[in-house]
Order: sequence, then C-alpha cells, then structure tokens
Amino acid sequence: MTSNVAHIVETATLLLAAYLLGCMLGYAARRILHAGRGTRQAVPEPVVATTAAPEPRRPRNPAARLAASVDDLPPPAKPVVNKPTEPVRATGKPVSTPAPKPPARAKISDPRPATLPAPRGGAADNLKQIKGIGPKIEASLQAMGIFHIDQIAGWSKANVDWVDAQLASKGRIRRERWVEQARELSGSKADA
Amino acid sequence: MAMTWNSLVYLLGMYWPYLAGAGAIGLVVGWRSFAPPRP
Repeated sequence: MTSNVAHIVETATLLLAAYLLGCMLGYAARRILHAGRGTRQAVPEPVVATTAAPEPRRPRNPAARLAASVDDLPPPAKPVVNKPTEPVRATGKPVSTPAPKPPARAKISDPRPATLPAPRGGAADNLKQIKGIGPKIEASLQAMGIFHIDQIAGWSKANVDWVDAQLASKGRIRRERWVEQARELSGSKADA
Repeated sequence: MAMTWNSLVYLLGMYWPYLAGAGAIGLVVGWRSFAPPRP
C-alpha cells in the first residue's frame, strides 16, 4: 500500500516537474523570439516607399507633398481626403466631421493636423513608441511637422485621413490605432 | 518513499507520454504568460 502511494507521489512529482519545465521553456522561447523580432522590425518598414501609384503627379517625399498640398489646395482641401485609397470607413462618412480642432490651425474644414515648425524644447518624442511607426514613418511625420506623441493623440478623424493619404499608408493609422496608442502613451506620460 | 534512481527510470519509461503531455501543456502556458514589454 505504501509503495503504491509512493509510486503515485513520484509520478505526480515527475508530472509537475515536466509541466514546470515546459512553462520555463515556453516563456524563455517566446522571450528570445520576441527579442529577435524587435531588432528585426526596426530595419525594414517599406510602407512609405510603396507610394500610391494612382496619382503620379504627387511627389514621393512627404515634405514636398505637404508643400505641394499647401500650394494646390486652398481652404476646403477635401480632394486629398477623398482619394480612393481604400474603402475602409473614410469614404462612407462625410469628411467634414467637426472635431476637437487643435487651436494652431483654426480653419474649420482643414483636415491637416496641427504641425510644429520644430520640436518643442528642441527634442522630439520617440514616435516609434507607437507600434506600427518605424524609423521611416517617423522621419516622414517629422518632415510634416509632427514631433510629439500628444500631437498624434489630438488627431481627429479628418486628420487621420489626411495623414494617411500623405503617407500613402492605406488605412494603417486606423488599423494600428495610432491615435489610441498615442493617447495611452501621453496619458501614461502625464501620470509619470 | 524516497525517489531512487531506479524508480525514476522506471517511471520515465512507463509514463513518458504523460510527462510529454504535461511538458507540452506547460510549454503553452509559459508561452502565453509572456507579456511583451512596452517600449
């Protein structure tokens, strides 16, 4: 009888040991894989390079595109937003949704987000904190005058559409929830 | 009561499929318990 009990106890111990070993292995494996993925992700980000083919007139460089849009588009500036990038939600809704406009640009129907000529305090935020923004997109955003997380957190729907069109990112901003991420990040920054 | 080398070998030989199953479950649990750190 006692040998039976000992047998059961030993088996249970072995099973527990196997389970714990598996736990540790799984955790370590994912951790290692995640670390590797993090370093690999920083390199490619080819999204900006694959610019929209349908409009050959538009320059590839976002800064030049921004300048061109400033020259071309007087106040209403809706054509840029209505560009048929993707039938996500942008085309279904009217673009001129009234949004909490940043005070820097007071025009009512202007879809451009508030931009800065230079980062506040001389130091830009690390926009790559937002998942989905890589080095290239960060550079493009900075070229547009977007340097800080709280700028992204203040984007309205129209702003998102406009920036999406500028980056030719085909709805990525919504898919990857940049604005929500930025709000969380700026909230946590404010808490700290 | 003490676990001897012989009994360990016997148990491993006898119950290795169950041990492998427990290890697999542990692997999944460990994998899922890893939360990627915020950048």
